[in-house]
Amino acid sequence: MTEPLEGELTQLLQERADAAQPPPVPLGMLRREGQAARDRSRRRPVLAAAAAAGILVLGLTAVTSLVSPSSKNTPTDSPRSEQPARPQVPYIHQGLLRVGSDEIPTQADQVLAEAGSVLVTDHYYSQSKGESSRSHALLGGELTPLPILEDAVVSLSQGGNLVAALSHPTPDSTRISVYRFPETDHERHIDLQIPGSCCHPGAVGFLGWDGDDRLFYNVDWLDEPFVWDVLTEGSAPVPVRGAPGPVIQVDLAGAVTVPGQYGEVTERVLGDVDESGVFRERMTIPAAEPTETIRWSPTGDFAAYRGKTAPVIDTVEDGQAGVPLNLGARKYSHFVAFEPDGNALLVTWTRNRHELMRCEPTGDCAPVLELGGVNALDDWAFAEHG
Amino acid sequence: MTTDRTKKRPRQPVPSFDEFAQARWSVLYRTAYLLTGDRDAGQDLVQDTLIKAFKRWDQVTRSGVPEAYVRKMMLNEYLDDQRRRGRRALKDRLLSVREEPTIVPDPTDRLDLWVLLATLAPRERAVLVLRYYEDLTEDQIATVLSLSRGTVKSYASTALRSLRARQASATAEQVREEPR
Repeated sequence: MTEPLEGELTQLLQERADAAQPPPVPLGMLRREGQAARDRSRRRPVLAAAAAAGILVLGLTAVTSLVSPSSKNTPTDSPRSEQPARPQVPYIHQGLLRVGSDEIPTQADQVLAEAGSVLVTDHYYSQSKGESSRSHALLGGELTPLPILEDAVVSLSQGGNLVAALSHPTPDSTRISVYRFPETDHERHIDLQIPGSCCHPGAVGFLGWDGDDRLFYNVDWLDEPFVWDVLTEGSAPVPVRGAPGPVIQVDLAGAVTVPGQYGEVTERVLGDVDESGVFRERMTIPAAEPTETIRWSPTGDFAAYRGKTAPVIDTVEDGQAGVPLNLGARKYSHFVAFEPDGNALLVTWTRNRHELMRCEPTGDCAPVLELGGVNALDDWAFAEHG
Repeated sequence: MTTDRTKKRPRQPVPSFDEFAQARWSVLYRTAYLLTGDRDAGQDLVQDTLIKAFKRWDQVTRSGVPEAYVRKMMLNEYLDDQRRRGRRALKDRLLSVREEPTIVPDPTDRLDLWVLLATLAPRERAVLVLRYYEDLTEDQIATVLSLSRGTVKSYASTALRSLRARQASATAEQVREEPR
């Protein structure tokens, strides 16, 4: 015999289901979006494998589109299939922060941008020079000072809503503070006890967020990475055990980049770090040739580094050596960022001008922006990511 | 996977994705609506599921039971989404002292089982929808949700007990507030 509640439940669910008139099948949209997902999956088997295995990879910071994805609630076919506009790279030139067509006066020289959030700071911490740094958020078209201690090194989370700041509130302490961006009235912080190196500016050499809003940092002198799940109340940083080296970069997909002999980057190790901080290696991807710096795209599909004769983009999945970028007569200056589709942005120079170039994974490059004269780079700052 | 590989199945014609989506859209939508309690969210859930199903349609059809396979995908999607929402809610509480929104129930809703269903944990709600709407057995639910039969029984029992308790509490409160 059916209990009264169970009978009532059966009747209720049936009535509700009957009353819910299904909308028309958006078959066209389903096929287009499905095909797009399939294409993305084919382009990025490394990421797909990582995601399927629930891997949290450690690595480079992400390039996240500054354009919001289309609404999920739209019932019609078209919006979800539209390609997002190419993200714009915020940059500072001659005292102006430029985001798209907007120009905002600033004295800052560092730009961080993620998912629509823009944060700028002035100098990196330099105790020896006695310089101070200040951080501002771009809110409502204006730069608003953040209540972050001066002399702080900051890092913006992958989603653009958490800011970690590394500071030395007293000469013998190192503090990591976490703020929610852009509402920064409240913070969580942790004071680190680092024997023998408490007040050394390089005591914590790296701050970076993974795609799950966990904060990674290295204690340089101990050469030991830590991970802090800041979103869990009462949690404390735990050492990352079993990692092949310090965490140099962290990205959405999460990948540890391992320095080799004499500090050259020789490979990247994909792995996941569980709640207790244990690192499990899943895959190792060698750099095509050892390099001093290497930058991985947000999804881990592409790497860019300075080759022997030219900058190189390496498409990771094909297992082949990277493709030297065709810059023509231009000289390579420095790498700026990856765009979500794997295109690299970099700065080049010729005799009398610098240019921002966009280079495709095929090696083809095209100028995006003319940057000015020979010394112009001294005045430039680009978004660190995105 | 919902397939029982120890039993041979009669060979079914393999539907194309279009045929499947056209034929099963309504059924999936209704289940999604009952899971989420919201028509827009239900539509999103079916759309997201079918997009993923398109992506691996070969795999879906190889299972021999595309409907069960896609239904399981949808339940996974629903539970994952609920976890993400829980995490976002946690994030909202981080670093700031915010007043929790006070939910003032409509007096006419107090005895509404539909409203009480929304208070259940996602897995509890999923178990009830599968049991009392889809009419699946405990074993079938266990397969779909990748749980043991005992866990399914436990979820169902906890959910029903919780609904009864809230119904009783709401009834008692209503009686107290009614003018004599």
